[in-house]
Amino acid sequence: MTETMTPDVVSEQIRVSEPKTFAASFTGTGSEYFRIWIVNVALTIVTFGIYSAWAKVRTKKYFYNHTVLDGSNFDYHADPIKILKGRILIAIFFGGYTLGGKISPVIGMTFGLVIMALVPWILVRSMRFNLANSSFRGVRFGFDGTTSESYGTYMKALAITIFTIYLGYPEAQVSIKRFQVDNSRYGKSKFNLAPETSFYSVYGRAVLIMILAIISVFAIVKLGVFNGDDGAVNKKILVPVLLMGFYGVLIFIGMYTSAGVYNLQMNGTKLESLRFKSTISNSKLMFVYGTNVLACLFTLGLLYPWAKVRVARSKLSNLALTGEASALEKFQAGALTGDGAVADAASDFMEVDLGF
Amino acid sequence: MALQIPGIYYDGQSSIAHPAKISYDDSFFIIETDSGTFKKTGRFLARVGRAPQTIEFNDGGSFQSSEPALIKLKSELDGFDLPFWLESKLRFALLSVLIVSSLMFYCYRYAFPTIAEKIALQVPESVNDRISQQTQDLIENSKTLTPSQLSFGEQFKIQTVFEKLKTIFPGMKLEPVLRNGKEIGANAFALPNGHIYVTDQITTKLSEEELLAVLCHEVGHVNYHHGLRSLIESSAISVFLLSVSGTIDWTGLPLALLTSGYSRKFETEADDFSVATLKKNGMKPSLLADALKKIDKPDKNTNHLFDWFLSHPSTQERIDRILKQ
Repeated sequence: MTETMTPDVVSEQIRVSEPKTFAASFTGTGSEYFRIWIVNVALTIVTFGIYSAWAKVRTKKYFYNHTVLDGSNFDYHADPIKILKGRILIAIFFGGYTLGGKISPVIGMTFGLVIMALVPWILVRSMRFNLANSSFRGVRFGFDGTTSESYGTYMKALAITIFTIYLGYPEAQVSIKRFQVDNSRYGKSKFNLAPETSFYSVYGRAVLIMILAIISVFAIVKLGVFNGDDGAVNKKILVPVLLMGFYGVLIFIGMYTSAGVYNLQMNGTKLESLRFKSTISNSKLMFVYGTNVLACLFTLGLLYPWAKVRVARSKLSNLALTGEASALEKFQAGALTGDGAVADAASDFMEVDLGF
Repeated sequence: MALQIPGIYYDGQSSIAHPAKISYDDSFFIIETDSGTFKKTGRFLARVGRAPQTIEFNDGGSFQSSEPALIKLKSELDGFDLPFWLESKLRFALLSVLIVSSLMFYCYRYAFPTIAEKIALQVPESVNDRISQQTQDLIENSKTLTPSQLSFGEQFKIQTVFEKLKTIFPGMKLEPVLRNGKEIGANAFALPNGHIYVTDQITTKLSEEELLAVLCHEVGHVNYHHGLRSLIESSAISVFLLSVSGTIDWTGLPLALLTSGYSRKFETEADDFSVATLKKNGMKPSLLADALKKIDKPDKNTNHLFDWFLSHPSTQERIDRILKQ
């Protein structure tokens, strides 16, 4: 529009010297999502689970549609019928697993091993399905990782973890995350993950928290806080307190690593000239997680939709992308990646966290 | 000329947003942009929440707008949007809360126990034996129990009680398994195949008649197929919780709470069974109450906060109920 007034050289300079910040936000609300959630749960129960496929699509659509980047929203396009077929197949499979496991441990173990062996395949296929069904500004996402690459990545990660007696676990995690991100693309443009600092910083601190917790337990017991009237340790008080403390520390560490890995991954992700910047601190994100858990516990799960919206809003309102001023206009559509509704259903059942 | 609705057009090939106007005429969408006018076929995508409405064209392009006119056009072409309507009204949300909670209550209270009982009766004996054998292997391998250290005289005492038990229940396969209870202490439990575990500690604490009362309680569990039923019930609850929450992250706690409710009910049923059996055979029901008093550790069940998680009702509650019958 302004081409006649601005010489090419100047516009080129502006592009290079003035990167633009594209702000993200989440426009959904807790009360709105509560209505959607509870109506979908009711319909799912009333239809003996059949509606769960539609419920899944509507839920994903709600979160994608209300995720806004620079004024444009995301969309989710999966066909509920395909999801339903995948879910039926997987439900039969997992039903066999649970029942078989109760009748004979051999059947249960066989199923378990088969599922474990399938994880890399499930990851690839479900990522293909999910990304191919996600779009932004009319351009679909995609996933190019192959099954053999996935098995290679997982085998290497497993080997690193085992041979280093878990010292290499963070490295193994990075390699899996990198496989996921580096093979993801928006249109033709590939994502790239290069974390600024090592995952060891997050997992190292997690281990430190654990050690501190163990030391403080020993200190408290030694100080005689749990001693009964006879001077000996009162096991009836100590055991429940220890158990609660143990779960508390585990949940705390889970929240810490989840927040830390999220920030590392986001801040290390690039897409062409675009860089991701998450400005929510680990402690703030942990506070959101922690209060969500409490809210759900004390309302018997009724505040679950509110909690889910709150996480999305906290993450997205603190997320921005920086890059060339015209960066968002420059993406070209790529090939659509294949179908993987069954693997998608399997990952739903297995709660495989696929990130993004 | 049909009504023109402003919005944004994406050609599906690039992420460039084209300001555009759309109209609908004779089963075609007509999109007017700066770079030209296109005639396309397509469909309205589902709408959730307050998101803009999108039309997806068959060639991969799309048009998006928040204009009420576009939503009106959608309802004219696609008809009534039932899911959107249900999700947008507070009254349906409240109705759903009512449906979900009452269905949960109904399933928990009536449907699951009834179905579990029906299935348990249909389970072939071979499967029943297999499950029992598996549990038995688990117990033996865990070393929680060790071989009985009772003298032959004491073991003989249990055998006589068992002989009496078998004459009371001639149709049932019952077999004693004597073990040292160690940490479990004075206890007895039955497996679905009729194997009844009796610990040394319980035999030394109880008289022959009291032991018989406890064994009748265990036969009650076998008779009512409680083992299989609790297995089926807990599976049903976990499937239900999974389908409602969509996650296995937070189902552990409610599952424990709900299954312990069933377990307490089974204990009461077994107590009642024992009392009825004792009465029928000319013995005092108070024998079971006496046995419970002797087995019970005095400092247990003082914390009522955790009552909801207990697998058994409190001993006092059980004794009161037994003595009332």
